[in-house]
Amino acid sequence: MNIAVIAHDGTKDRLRGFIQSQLETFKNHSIVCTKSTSKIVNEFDLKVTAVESGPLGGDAQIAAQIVNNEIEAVFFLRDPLGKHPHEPDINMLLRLCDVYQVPLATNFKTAEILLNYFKNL
Amino acid sequence: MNKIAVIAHDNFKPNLLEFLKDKKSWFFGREIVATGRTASFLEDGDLNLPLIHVNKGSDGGYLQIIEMIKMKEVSIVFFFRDANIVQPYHEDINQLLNTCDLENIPLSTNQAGAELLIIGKIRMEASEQAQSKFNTK
Repeated sequence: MNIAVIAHDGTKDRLRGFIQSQLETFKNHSIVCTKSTSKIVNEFDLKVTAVESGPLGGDAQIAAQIVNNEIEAVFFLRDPLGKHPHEPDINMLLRLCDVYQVPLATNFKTAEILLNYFKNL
Repeated sequence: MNKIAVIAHDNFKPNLLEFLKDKKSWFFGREIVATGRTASFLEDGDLNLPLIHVNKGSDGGYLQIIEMIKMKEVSIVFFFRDANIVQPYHEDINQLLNTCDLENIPLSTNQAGAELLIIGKIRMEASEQAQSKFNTK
């Protein structure tokens, strides 16, 4: 399965711990990340493809992959307290997940439960 | 037991009804809270699960659910969202999503995610049960 993983700066530290705790499940899937998120995911031995960073259009690139049916789930660990110059891209990504019915986790608890589904796939 | 919040935009109300009927055995015995028109639609569709009604979305229903989330009364949110409409109370919707993320509450904004969340949740509950049985032996 192709899983998109994006973490905002405010959640990147938690992402590291999260991947560590779910490493066995992540190993069975390919991961698409925005550039700065990929630096964290690459600390682990995982299949990772990086697109541009969010402000340079990375969210838009992942959104395009959703439109092309290339992504099975999106883990978008956003920081609702942060301000982002690419807010329209973020909303576009969230919206397209709902248009194309792609499972989306916007926080760690949701991601953890969804990974229970992806465990044995 | 914490509440489960269910909300559906008009186009997806029938989908939510089917979803709940399909998973009825999991929802049975859990407190379900729904915004006004969603709750009426589910009751008219013979869901036969007890529902707590809050106001309809345009009358602050989202804000009532947000309050419940902040009071730690909600354990999961199923929101069947129609991404092709914009409502005058759009800001309430964004605030609901933000509150879920700040409080780290499981949330799905579409049916595909909701189906997987339920499966994931059932697996987690099963392993927790097995664990607690093991511990008491």
